[in-house]
Amino acid sequence: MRFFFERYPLPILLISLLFAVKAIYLSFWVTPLWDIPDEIGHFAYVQDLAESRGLPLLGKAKINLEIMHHLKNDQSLSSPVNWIAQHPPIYYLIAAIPLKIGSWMTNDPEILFRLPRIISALSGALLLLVLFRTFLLVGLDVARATGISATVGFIPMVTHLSSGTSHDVSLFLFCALATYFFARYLIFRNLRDVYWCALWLTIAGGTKMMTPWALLAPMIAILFVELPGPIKNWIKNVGGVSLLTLSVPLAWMTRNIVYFGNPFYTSGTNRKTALDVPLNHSFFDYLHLQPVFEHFVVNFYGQLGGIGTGIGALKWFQVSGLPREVFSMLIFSLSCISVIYVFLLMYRALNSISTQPKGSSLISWASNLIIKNKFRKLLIVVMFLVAILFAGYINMKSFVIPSLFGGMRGLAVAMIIFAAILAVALLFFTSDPVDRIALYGMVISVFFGAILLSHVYGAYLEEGGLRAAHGRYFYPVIPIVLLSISIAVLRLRIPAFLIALVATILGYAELETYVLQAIPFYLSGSL
Amino acid sequence: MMNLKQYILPLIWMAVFVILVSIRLGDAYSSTFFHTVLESSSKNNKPSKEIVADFYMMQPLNWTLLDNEVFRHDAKSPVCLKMFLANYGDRKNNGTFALTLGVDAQKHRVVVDAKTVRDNTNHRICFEDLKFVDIAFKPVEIVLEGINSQKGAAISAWMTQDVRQGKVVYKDGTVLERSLIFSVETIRVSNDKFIHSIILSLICCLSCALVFFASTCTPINSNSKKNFIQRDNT
Repeated sequence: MRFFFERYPLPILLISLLFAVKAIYLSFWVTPLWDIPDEIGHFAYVQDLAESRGLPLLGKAKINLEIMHHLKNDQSLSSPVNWIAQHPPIYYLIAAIPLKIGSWMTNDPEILFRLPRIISALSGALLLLVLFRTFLLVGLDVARATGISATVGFIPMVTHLSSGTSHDVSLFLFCALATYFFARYLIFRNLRDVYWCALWLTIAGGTKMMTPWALLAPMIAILFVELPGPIKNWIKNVGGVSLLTLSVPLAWMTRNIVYFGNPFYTSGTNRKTALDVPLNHSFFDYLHLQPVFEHFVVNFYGQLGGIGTGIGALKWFQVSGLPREVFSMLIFSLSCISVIYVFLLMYRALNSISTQPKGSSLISWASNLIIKNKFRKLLIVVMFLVAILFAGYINMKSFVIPSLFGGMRGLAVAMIIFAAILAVALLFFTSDPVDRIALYGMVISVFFGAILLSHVYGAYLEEGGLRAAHGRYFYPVIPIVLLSISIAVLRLRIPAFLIALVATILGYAELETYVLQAIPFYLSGSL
Repeated sequence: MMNLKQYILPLIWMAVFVILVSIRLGDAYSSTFFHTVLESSSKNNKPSKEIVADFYMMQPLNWTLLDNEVFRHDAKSPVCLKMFLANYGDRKNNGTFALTLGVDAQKHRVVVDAKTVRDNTNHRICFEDLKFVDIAFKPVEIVLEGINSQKGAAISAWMTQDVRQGKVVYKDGTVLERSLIFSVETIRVSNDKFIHSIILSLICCLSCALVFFASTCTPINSNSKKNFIQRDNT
């Protein structure tokens, strides 16, 4: 017990506990049933497992009649096929536990339908603790680590999803654990951490179908270039880590091949698209015509609602007003901090303050080769120019809401892209493991964003409108993004008092979101 | 022994926080809330022309979409109308426009200052003296007309392609294949809103106090990176 309290000081434990209380309170008394994205489908899959009907099969699994009657308050409805994309079963298996236990105690559907929500609430609370440990790991003090961790629990969308039956927050937690061990390996160089990282990545891949791949691929690739030699050991570890990381996702893909003949089969795979002829717009036309970045950012902060309040019809709202403006200022400030931090590292690299990395990894070998080269400074200058031109072009071409806060959100995205491109070059000049983690975090986040963007661009061409611009899709990569930012905060010595002040303002913004926007919205749908 | 000094700052902050919350959200801690009884749906929305002087558009209501149970529940509640308006990217607009709810021969007209309209948000106007029973299932017209806003400094209203609520008609009789985006609301009373708000406020205040407590009460030597890395590795 003493060991536990030494690792988790009382304030963060209580903040985490309060988050769990808040999420459970919202789950059972505030957030209407089916008002979480795809909650009805997720619950039906959980129910199939809890009632021992085995692993549901997409296209055959149905949504229970009782759920449909509850949703539409109509006893004449029939049981439809579960239409939501089916994901690998790890989350569903965990969420089935409270439902199974609850079914022994009560028959009340109002309670039973809400029981799996407990898993999301607990995942959210654990997430804050894991993030706290990760921030301490890279050198943040308790005050700063507490402030930044608490901030995550003050984002309305995180709280909202923590109060529903959805895999998003559990996935967030699993990816945070993978990030923790990723950072641990880069700092302590203990091979055991690589395998722990691989284990959590495979669990993440066993929770959601697509987005974990965009984290898994770059994270594992980085671990491979960071693994030590000699070549025989390197091959052995690469093989072991690959096998472990891919085990669960590959098992799921094999199942999909057996049943559907397509490893990435989802409910949308063979669906008829809205347009008979796909649009002929370039990627930059897409960014110019559609508020892509704007929606990703705004929806990340808060897009609440679903088919519960709308009694079967989709009804949702984006958080607006002061809370959104506060969040816009925050991400703008954090992007500025990241850019200043990258400039600091660039200054050190240009002035040969960087030390040569030790070790026998591929990245050490490449770094030594570049640092000794007489054109090394040219690489940084070229990457700087590429970064500023590309990020500037993206900002100019993108649809930006013509207002102060819309401009801030647009600039924040451009600055993150700029920092990530420059980070690629700086990786070869930075031997400090903590700084390397920050740079890797920037690169991974932009890689992740690019994969997601290409996916939603494809959907746009086929559907003719903006689709799937959900900020929650970024959850797998948020732990490493937060880690990069926290390292920048550490290096720039941002005062703990300021972080606490920002965290409390965000806490207030979330309260205002619920009191002035979410609760009236939920009540507006009650009969 | 507990050092009381280190608790003073978090306690002061908590007191300030509670005062600020109660000032800003004071009105929200009530039992009344707005319940949507009828609304149009968004579909390929487009803004109208600027609502300048002489601008006029009329929108009927389709009561066939109203639930009878809702009508029975809300019959004696006051009515509000929420319109989805735009101000051209937080442009500084001026002048006024009017929103009229015409029921039979009666006109309930409210004049609105264009400055008070926020961009792409639902603007709510309440008719305190009008009960839901006075308008429900009766021929009702929503009229939006400009009074004295100038071009380049006026607001606009969003319109949807979903015309189940009826089509917009201009002053010259032109019928548009679009409908205004609006909601008819009633004012309801429920203790749920008050209780939820109070409980969430308490959780928020406690969480914020703990963040502040952590920032002021952490031992100074705890920010040594070396200490933490060593501790984490044990």
